[in-house]
Amino acid sequence: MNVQRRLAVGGPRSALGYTVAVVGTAVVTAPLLAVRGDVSKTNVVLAYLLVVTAAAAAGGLGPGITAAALGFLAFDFLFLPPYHTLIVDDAQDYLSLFVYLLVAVVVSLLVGTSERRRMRAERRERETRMLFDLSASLVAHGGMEDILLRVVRTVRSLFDLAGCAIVLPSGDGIRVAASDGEVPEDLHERFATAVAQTSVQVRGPGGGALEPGRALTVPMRGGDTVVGALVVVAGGPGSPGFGEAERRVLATFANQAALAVEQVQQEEERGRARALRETDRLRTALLNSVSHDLRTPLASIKASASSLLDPDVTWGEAERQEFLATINTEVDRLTHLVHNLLDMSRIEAGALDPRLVETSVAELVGPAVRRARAASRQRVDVDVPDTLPPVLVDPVRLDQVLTNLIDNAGSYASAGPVQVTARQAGADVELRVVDHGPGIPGPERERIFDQFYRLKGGGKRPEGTGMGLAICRGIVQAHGGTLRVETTPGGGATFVLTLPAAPRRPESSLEREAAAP
Amino acid sequence: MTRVLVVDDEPPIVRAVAANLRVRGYEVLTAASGEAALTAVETHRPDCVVLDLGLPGVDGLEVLRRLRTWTQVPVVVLTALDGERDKVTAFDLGADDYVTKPFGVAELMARIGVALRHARGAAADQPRVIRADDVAIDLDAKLVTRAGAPVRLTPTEWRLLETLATNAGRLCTHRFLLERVWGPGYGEESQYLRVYMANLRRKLDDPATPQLLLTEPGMGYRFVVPEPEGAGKGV
Repeated sequence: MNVQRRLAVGGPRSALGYTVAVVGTAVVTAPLLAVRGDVSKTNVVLAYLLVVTAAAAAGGLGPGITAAALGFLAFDFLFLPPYHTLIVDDAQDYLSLFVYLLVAVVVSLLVGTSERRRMRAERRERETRMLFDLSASLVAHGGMEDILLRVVRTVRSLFDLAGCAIVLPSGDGIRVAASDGEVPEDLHERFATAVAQTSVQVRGPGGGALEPGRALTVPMRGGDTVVGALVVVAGGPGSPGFGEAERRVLATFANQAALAVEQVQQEEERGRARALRETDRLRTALLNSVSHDLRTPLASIKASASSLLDPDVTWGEAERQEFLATINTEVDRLTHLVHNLLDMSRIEAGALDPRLVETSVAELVGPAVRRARAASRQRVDVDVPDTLPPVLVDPVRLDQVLTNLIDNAGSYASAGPVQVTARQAGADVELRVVDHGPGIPGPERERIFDQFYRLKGGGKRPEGTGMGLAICRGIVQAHGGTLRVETTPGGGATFVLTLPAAPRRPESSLEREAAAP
Repeated sequence: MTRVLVVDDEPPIVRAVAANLRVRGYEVLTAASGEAALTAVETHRPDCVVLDLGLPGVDGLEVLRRLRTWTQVPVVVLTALDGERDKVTAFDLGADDYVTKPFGVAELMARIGVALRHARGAAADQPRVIRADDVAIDLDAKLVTRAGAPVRLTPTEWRLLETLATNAGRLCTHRFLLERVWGPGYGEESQYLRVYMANLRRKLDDPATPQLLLTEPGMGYRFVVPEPEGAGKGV
């Protein structure tokens, strides 16, 4: 069966050669036969040699030899007397026959060999071009997924395949890292076979081309290990086929791709290590800062509470009050700190997950301002026009930001009032919290948004955890907004918060009724 | 005697809250789990429940859900620092108010007081004229005056104000107000609410920094009747 298939798939080229041999012999014989008496034997031999050359050129050695044999028989049978027998009368004719046969075979051999060489050179060139194209798909930037996707697309289009996929090991199983087109279902088995394969299987079953729809698995070897497997599914009829040459190219390329995969994997590994180191550094900074901030209030609380509980001492009412007040304020400080730490870790983990609601700016500002006025008797002037478009925000989070900014402004601007203003700026709403305090020196204007950064001021220990502004910025950025600080004209700090305005909705009839006086 | 059930799995919290309630003349029951709380409500019929949401086993939200299937006893919810979502859910399930842990005892006592007053008010006579600052709201005559001058309200504005005023001191969630004023099915249309609240504030309050109609960020609105200036000290 294999033999049949090999013949069948011998290709259109050799079929053409045999056709030329048979048809050519017939075509040459017919007219010569008509003028058999008038034509010299030499001319007949030359005519048959012409057929041999043509057949060899068209189909290589086999067709050439076939044409030679056919020519020999026709010459002997039809043109050498006695006709219609293979017997030759004239001894000279033996010589003619022998020379003809010799020349025919030599011509066939020469033409066939040079034809084979030409084909091999062509194939090499094609393979080189393919490899070049394939390699080009590896030389690119981007993540592993991007590269692999480019690879499967290039492989599929170059070999005109029905599908191509790259399978990589993942944990205990496998995963399809990239695929294009049709992918066989038995990827698990295919991958296992690829890993077990010791040598590259260049020849398919029977060494023939891959039948349409059949899949082939090529292991991707990087050094001694199999990094993954390239699975290809041959294209349908009409595609150039997937023969030995293609397999060879693909095997070579699979190993190149393996190297690229290894490289990207190493790069990702290095990236992870870097991120880990960075996290470690942050964690250390956090621990240093937080342990101090946590211990201080805890120490105060412990001291106050144990004093009150001490059975050996009788405290006066004023002293008792003082201890209790200390416990109360220090607990507030701890609460604030814990709250901030929770927020910070949420922002760091990208887990802030704001619950977005269309909110009017006046409603955002109102509660924060009210609280600031109540808590510190701070004068806060508000200028929020009610023509502003609503913003799409998490009101709880934004309230937290505004409260923090107003508190901050209040504690630095004991001199004058804090102003809160809002205006529309293009597609954004811009909120400003303005104080007229000492302001923030230029070089520190970005650093104040860093975690645990505290303004150096006058030697006294600054209040707060150094997390407030970092949290504010984190929250605002999670809303797609920005937070920066500027200098207030005439001195002081102005925190500028921009938030994207909510997309306008068509006015409903309800809103129109509401708009009536 | 007014009976209050305190549900929390932290004994120090239960002790502190119970002591404060007793000192103020309440009778106190305690429960340390959701199951115990449900049984206690059934057998002792308290007048108010202080319910921690972070309970082991049957959690606070589930307790609330089961309670609301058969009783309207006022429930004041205790939530953790970062329990914003739970808070909204609790209100939608029918909680009366909330206090965030850690809380000041005075705040919790005030909330319990409001919840109890409201529950009683629903049964007994309610004042039919509510006065806040220079605003007077006559619920029977459907008349609103500000500094003696009548204020014209659209029918929707009136329904909104009426709902808020009859729940004075209590938090009204967006959903509650929308369903009361616009009807079921409008629970998500909070932009209506925003527009009408802005109008009410323009007519009755200081729109930039409201004193009567307060926003609770992310939760809803609260109509507060401010204490008259100096009243606290004078008495």
